[in-house]
Amino acid sequence: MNLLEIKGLKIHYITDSGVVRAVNGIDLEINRGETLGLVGETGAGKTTTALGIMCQVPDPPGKVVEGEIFFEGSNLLEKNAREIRKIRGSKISMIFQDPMTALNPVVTIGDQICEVIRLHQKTSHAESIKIACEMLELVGIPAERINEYPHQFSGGMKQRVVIAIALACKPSLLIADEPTTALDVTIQAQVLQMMDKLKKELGTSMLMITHDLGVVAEICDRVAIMYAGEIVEYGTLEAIFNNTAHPYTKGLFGSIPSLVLDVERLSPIDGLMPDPTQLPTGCSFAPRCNEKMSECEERKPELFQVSPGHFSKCIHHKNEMHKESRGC
Amino acid sequence: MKIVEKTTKLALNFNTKKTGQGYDVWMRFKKNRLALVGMFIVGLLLLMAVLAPVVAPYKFDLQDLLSTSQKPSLKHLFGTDNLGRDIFSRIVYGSRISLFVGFVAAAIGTLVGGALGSIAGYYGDKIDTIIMRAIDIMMAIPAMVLAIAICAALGPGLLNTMIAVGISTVPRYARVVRGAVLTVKEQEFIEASRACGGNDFHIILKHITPNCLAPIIVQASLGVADAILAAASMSFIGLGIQPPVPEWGAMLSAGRGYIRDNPHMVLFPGLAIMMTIYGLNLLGDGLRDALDPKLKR
Repeated sequence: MNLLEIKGLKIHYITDSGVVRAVNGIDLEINRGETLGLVGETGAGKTTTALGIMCQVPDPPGKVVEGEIFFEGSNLLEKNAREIRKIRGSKISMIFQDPMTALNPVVTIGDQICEVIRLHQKTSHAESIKIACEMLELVGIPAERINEYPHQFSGGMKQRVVIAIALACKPSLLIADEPTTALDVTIQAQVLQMMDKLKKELGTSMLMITHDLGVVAEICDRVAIMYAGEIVEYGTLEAIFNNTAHPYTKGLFGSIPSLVLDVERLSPIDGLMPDPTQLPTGCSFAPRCNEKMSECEERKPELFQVSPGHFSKCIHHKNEMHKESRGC
Repeated sequence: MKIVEKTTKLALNFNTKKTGQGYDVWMRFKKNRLALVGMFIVGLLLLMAVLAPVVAPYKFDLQDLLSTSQKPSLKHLFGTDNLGRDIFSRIVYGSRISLFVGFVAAAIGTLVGGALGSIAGYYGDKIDTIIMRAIDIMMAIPAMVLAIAICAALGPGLLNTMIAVGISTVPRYARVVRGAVLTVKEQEFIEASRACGGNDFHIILKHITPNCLAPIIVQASLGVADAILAAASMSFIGLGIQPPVPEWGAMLSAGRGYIRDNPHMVLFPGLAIMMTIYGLNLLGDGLRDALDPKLKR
């Protein structure tokens, strides 16, 4: 059984000016101890997916319209508020994007780590402090600093504190929402390495949300590429990087400057993401796609298997594959 | 193994955290001269109130009809009133009443107003509308008139004065707290705390309140001063504390008929009120600066 299984999840934001279709029927699964990278540009619905898993979509205006989220075999969307609170922080925890704002400025970091421990475990005050000290040492912060306030730490250190809070109850799933976006590059590498190490030590699964393919290459086992609230390509790290199938993913790789190849210009993807209140009827990537056919604008493409465990959502590519297989 | 030893040692230090933090606040408070003056005045008043029987040379209701309306002298430091009572003794005893009324009324206002304000701010929407419109209605009535109305309904007396003054200040606290809560609740650490499994009560108490503490403390310290003033005004018009209890406002009221010939009868109670309020305001400002860790240098 998979640790987390999302089936046909749809999350819409219902506002006065229209329905924002943030997540449109995505399927995901994460095995125990595995890291799944969720990649996409700004506004693709990555964070909404994460909030959906935490059952924390701001309501109103957000609504989970359809779908099921199975965590350790039970559907999270059917649980009541009290049951969800028991899971949050102890079994599923989340690292937020910006460590500068994710910590309460008037509470010491020690108290903030203790807080999550005491919410979920029946430990004495002294014991929880001991665990907090251990967590701090684990993320590479001297335990002497337990009584200091967030503003006394640098950005990278704060993110370590946030990670310590997230891992304090040894959750089985860690959702990292762009954990390194707010940090500079050298600190990024340190934090990523540390997360990878801790994840292996504690046997935690991880959902890594990012728009940085470099981060994905470094720590993910499998990758899901998200575009306009849909998963357009899904597969192992090798399959996505070496055997890219979907034109959008190709476009993403084309936009990265290479250190090895000598190229005159980068080849970015033209145009903008479609307005989520008015998604195109056919393939949502069709307006920007340079391999588009007339069929693409008429009907929604469905996922097809490129190779075992590697799926893509492209009509053109599917037709090509068929031709090839028939040609053989 | 090393980590475990180290952490146990630290855990022991952590238990003494409260004094450590208090020490930090004190160090910052100490740098502010005016705040120290404020604390000195308030401290002196508290001491005077506690040690009233020792400090006061006469009993507050002792009448000496042979020496009425006397000017200040060595025998009667602040003079005597129209019934021959020693004004200094009455002011000393009066500080008990005034400070007590002030603190209790401010506490009622802070607790009720703070609770209403944070509930309104945190939940927003319908609950917010209901609470805040009710507060608006209360605000439409001047605080003094509201206090008079409550006092008139409940009847005069110490307890009723405190309740009346306390309730009349509720709208002010509710608005200040709601405003502060609105800015704090949008912050990411609130969402992070929810993601850690905290419930609403926990989030309000542990994360929102500490972040709103600075405006609450300032409002409360000014509120104590206001409450003392309001209680004095109530007594001045005869609705508050009843004679012969030596309330400063009542003393002003009793002395106002003699202001031409014996200005000392109103001068000293008035000065007492002024100094108390001045001290409390300085103390409140100093506390705000000292308690805010964001201003830490």
